[in-house]
Amino acid sequence: MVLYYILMLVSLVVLGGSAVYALYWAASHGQFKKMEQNATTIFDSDEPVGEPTDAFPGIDLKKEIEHRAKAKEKSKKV
Amino acid sequence: MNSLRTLFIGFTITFTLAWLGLVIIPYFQLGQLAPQVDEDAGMSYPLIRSGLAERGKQVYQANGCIYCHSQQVRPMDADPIKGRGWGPRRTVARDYIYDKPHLLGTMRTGPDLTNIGKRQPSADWHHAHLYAPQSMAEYSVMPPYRYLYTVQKIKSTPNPKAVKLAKGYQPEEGYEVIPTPDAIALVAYLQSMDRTYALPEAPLPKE
Amino acid sequence: MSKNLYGTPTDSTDAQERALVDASCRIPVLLFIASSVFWLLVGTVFGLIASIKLHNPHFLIELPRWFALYLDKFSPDGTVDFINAMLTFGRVRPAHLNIVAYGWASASALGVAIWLMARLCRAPLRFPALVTAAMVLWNIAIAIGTIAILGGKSTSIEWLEFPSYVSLMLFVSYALISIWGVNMFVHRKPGHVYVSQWYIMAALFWFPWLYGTANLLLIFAPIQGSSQAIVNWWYGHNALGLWFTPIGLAAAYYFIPKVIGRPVHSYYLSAFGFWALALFYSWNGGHHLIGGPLPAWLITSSIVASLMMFVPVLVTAINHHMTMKGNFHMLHYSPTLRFVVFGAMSYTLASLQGSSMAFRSWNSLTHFTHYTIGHSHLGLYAFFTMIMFGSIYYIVPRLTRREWPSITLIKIHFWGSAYGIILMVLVLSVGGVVQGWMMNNPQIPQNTFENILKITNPYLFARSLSGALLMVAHIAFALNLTLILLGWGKKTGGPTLFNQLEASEEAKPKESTL
Repeated sequence: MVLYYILMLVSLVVLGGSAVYALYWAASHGQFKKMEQNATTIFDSDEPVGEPTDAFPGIDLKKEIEHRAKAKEKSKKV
Repeated sequence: MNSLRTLFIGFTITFTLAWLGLVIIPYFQLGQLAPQVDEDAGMSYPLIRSGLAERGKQVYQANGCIYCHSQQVRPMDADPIKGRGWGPRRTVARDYIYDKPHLLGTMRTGPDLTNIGKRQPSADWHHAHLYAPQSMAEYSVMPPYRYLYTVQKIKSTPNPKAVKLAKGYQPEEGYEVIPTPDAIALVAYLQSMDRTYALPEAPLPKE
Repeated sequence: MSKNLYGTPTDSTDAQERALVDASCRIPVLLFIASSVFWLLVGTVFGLIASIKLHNPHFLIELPRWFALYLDKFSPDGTVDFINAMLTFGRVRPAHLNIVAYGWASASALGVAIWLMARLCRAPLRFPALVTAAMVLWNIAIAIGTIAILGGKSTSIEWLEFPSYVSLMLFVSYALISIWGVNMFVHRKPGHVYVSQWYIMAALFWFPWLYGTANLLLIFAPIQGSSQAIVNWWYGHNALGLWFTPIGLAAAYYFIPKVIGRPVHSYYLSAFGFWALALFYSWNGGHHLIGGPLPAWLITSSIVASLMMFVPVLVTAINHHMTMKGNFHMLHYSPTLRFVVFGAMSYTLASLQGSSMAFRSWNSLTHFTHYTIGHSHLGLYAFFTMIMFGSIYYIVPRLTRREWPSITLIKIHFWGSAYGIILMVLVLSVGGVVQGWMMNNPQIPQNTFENILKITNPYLFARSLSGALLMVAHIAFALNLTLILLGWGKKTGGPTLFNQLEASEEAKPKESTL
């Protein structure tokens, strides 16, 4: 029974240690560089940042957004 | 975070840690428990079920009884004041070594059944309750297990195995309700459910 | 030269590549989605039957006399009994769980994951026949499994009720798709790897390991009693945390930024959240067994891990909120965004609730009550299913190159689902707390078992109402899906939903100033 506890301890230490090492290795081999750039990887030249890509069928999104912007400006002036 | 190798190593390490902790280590700690043998009394605990009761356990499984009934007594359930009389002591790992699969359950729409054999030893009660739960407890939402019974015409004399039902739940005149082998097995299983014996790691409370 | 609504040209190489990728996924992804919605309908019906039987135990047992006589004509010896057996609560309830978990949720997860992988790897689907074969095997397995459970062959192990031959088929199917997923990733277009890809790769890697171990140690070569219980719930909880949650988060991390047109607020936070989830979630399983016949160290470590889950959950919540900030008006315009944001918010709620349920004091009240069922539906429906709905609303038009035929059906679906699940979670949570408190205080004379059942009855009835609402929502969804797959709906010219119009700069949405 004691052998099992020793085995558990050893494997936990080994795994914990390799986790720490893996983190160190990843950091020193540039795995965490340029992170923010990765966030824009889902966009394309024709679906760029700044343009929504989904709407209810038939909605003219451009018009809706213009309409909204105008309404907001009106309420600000009042 | 861009390389398959980094990700793979990360997935493996994180998963293996929990796999060791929750699967492998408990297997060593709980997976080879032996029954408690009382040589003077000639008994071993937990009690081994008869073949009929084992068959009844399969009927219990096939009909999904675990979805309303649990089979574990928590420390608070065994409390003399705050408990519902479901057991004199909490259950421990050794109480379940003969349960394949375990039937611990996670819902108590109905009462806990760990010690139902002790609380309700009467086969007549169980048959009537399985056939028409509402006859024993009007408010019960337990489904009537009529398909575990056959309604048949009474031959010359009433069958001694016929289920004794309350008024209003009896079949029509001249008919009786006979349990099928599945029902008989299931009741044998329920009658076998008794974990009120003491174990060294789970002594009974002193009266 | 064609442009989209905002004046951006839409026949660039990027657009063409994307169209190719979408076209390569068409058959397998649409088949996965269509079959998953079929199982959703079947699963909802079973759920409704089970729910009604809990407040009306004679439902479908007292068959109308004319129907019983009609059946008796064909088989005098017990057709009625046969139907009663098939539809008893103890069989319908596990049928419901397995159908929605494996037939709806896992299948839609796979369909969405395949499309996401293809898009993010920017490579057309490799070996589509393999994926389609896996899908066919999957559906056959679910069908056989359902019949087996209703026929009384359930294994009676929660979350693993399908018999061994069915779980073998499911395992083979999963394994095929996992291998395919890794292969796809290896052959991706070089460049950056997105957070959703980590989540999907992780889920595809972990699930077969989970499923295989659980089946081996519980069904094929069962280990001893109590140790089965912990393997059972290690599996059950990780099916949620390491399979459904990563796929749901992968979809949320892709669709929220993609629909509103803004990148994720902090990529560092997403990386941190991912590894925190991987580290802590897998230890949670024991919290299903608090008070049970298991060693204290095991239960306590699960409780600690459940509380540590606050970290990745809050990190993800902050990330999504900051991404959405300033763009909540987009919820008016995009059905996908509505469903996905509802789902993402529910993820936070469900996880915080889950962590609170791991405290021993609260757990002693809610364990074994309807509260737990409310929580599981908050997680699997309000979070995961709603995100799958949102994903399907985005994916299907891009694969069929048609728009959804009916806006009304989309709205019925959204509001039906939203109100339905909110009602369900509310009534089950309140009812569960009442049930638990009464159960734990028998020293008060009014807290008889009879009174518990009488008092929880209206809550269970309200749950059936919410189930009926969800049924309506799902029918609306299935109808819309059938129509679009059959060829209704306006055709679109390009790979997006917008008509080709000349547009100006003013149309662009505002960026958050933070």
